[in-house]
Amino acid sequence: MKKSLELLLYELAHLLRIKGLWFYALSVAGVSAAFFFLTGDERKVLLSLLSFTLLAVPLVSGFFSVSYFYDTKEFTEFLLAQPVGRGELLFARWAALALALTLLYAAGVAAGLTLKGFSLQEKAGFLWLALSGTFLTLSFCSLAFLAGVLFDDKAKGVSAVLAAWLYFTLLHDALILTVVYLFKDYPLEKPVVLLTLLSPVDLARLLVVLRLDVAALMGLTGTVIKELLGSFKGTLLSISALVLWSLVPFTLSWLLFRKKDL
Amino acid sequence: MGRPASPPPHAPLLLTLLLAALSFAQTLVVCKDCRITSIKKALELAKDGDTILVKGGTYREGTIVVNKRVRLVGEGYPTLDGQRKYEVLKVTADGVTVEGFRIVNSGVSELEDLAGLKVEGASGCVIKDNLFENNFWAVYLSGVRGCRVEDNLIKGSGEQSEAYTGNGIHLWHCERVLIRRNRIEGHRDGIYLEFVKDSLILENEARNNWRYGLHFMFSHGNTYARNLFERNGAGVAVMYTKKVVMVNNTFRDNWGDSSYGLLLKAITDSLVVNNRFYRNTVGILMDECQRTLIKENDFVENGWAVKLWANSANNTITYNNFLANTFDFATNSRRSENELRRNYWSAYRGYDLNRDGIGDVPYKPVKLFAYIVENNPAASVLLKSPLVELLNLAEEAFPALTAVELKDPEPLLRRVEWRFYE
Repeated sequence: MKKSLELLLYELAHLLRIKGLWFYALSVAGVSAAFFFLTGDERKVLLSLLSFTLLAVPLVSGFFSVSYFYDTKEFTEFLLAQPVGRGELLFARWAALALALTLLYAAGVAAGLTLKGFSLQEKAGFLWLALSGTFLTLSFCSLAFLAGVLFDDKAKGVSAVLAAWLYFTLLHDALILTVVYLFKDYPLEKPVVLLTLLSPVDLARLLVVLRLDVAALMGLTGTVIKELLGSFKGTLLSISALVLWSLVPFTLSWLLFRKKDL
Repeated sequence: MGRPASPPPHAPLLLTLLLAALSFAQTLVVCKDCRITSIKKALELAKDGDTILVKGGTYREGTIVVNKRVRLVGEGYPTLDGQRKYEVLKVTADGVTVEGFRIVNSGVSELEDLAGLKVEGASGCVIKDNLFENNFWAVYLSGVRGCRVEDNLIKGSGEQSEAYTGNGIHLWHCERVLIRRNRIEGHRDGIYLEFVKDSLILENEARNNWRYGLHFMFSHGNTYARNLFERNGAGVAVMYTKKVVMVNNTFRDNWGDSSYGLLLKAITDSLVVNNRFYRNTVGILMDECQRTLIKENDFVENGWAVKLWANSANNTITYNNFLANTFDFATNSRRSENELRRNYWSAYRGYDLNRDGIGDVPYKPVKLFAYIVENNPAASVLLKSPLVELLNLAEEAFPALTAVELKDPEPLLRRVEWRFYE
């Protein structure tokens, strides 16, 4: 455990020296500041930041994590020649990466918000946004590690992560739309909610949207969905689903990595 | 050139009679230390045409029935308390005035519509400058002709549900009533009219009512002007009515899952002109509407500015401003028998080469996603999804993707300037 922590801190220090990652934080800060300058309406800023988060955070987290995984493969092998457990090492690397990316994302949003002087009306909304950004980062780091462990070929691994990103941001919603279209004569609220549980991006989106007044645009169906996902139990459900999305892919990669022929 | 008009020969006689009548009309004063200490007693003593002046204080007299043509005037807003048991004032005579009272705590009943002030079958009443607080129904007019309800301040009981409170101003089978400058809060419906004809509803403010700010059915030929409807549970709903005129009203912040700025259900031959719709979930929902003109209105920052259902036809929507709405338009059919022409759309991206102020490319206000959601409500779970943003972009790039034919063939490039009378 102590070794894990040591490794984690070392990784973290190394990651925070990578200029590309600071560029990520800077662009998040830039985007949120730009939204604030363009409109004074916090609800609009929040919605725009949500759209940005849903697209950019999974892409950057996934792509960076999987590239980092392959680029440091030799160093990993070198470390494994030392008295370090495989599981410990993988966990430390994953945790450091997820922590760094989350911190930089949060720092970016916070830096953008400081321009507003922290006199926010929609504090709760921004907190939910930060939470959904965090879960997106964790889930896509996990998926990246799974791809990294599964494929030895870097091209294949990166493609797999990009495919996952494309699937969860666009294709899964297209699938939901198709289901809604095909079975429109049936009550669909529950099946649709079940389908959203299968995509971390949908869950992260609804986590924020259901707490904003735009949710009224979902009409009567929205009330049912709000009951299923937005009530206390529903929030627990969607947060547990997001926790599973953050941990399960990594756990799989951890199990595989322990027995993998390197 | 005619002869100078001379007074009719019997004018002096009429004048004498009038003076005689006036001299017989007397004022009865009611107060705690007066000769008459109760309003009921004063009403017993009063004759038609008398004035009963009630001075400050609280009067708990059960139900006070006004069955003579008197002016009931309060000085210093005397309180008439129904003690949560009685209907407070009940007017059955013609030509009664009720002015300057504070009427509170009417009884609550599931069977009878107990009101703070009920007028039944009378004509020519004036209800003016009263405060109504914590009543089940506040002002209740039934079978009334030629009345005025003016400058009253009406606050509901604040019970946490629409089932435990009646309407602020309630009219049933009335004609020629003027409802003006009243403020109504916390009731079920602010103003409710059923079978009401030829009436004027002017300059009222209905806020924070549990259900509708204004609600009417089967009430033909009424005019609604310069009213404000703000933050009501479900906005304003008007139904099954012909020849409605709505001018210069403001519909604001009626936001919620099933809330409308203005719900037009089975409305025909009506005018909706020069109104402002700000931040409502739906600005106007048109369901079974026929031959209605919607002209020179502002729709600003609504969820949907207009929802036009397929059962509506021959309506004209023209010279309106559509500014920064999430969706300008939604409909549930591909075809539409309505005229949409010469509106200003802030989302319009066309051009005007001949500089006549009219865009050269038609504007299609129904977004693909709005159409999908209207037909498949469960699709609303994709609100704010990147896929939806992509669909919107694709729709702009490939016009063939648009599902609905409805379009404004002559979109305006400049905002329509029209006058709002404050």
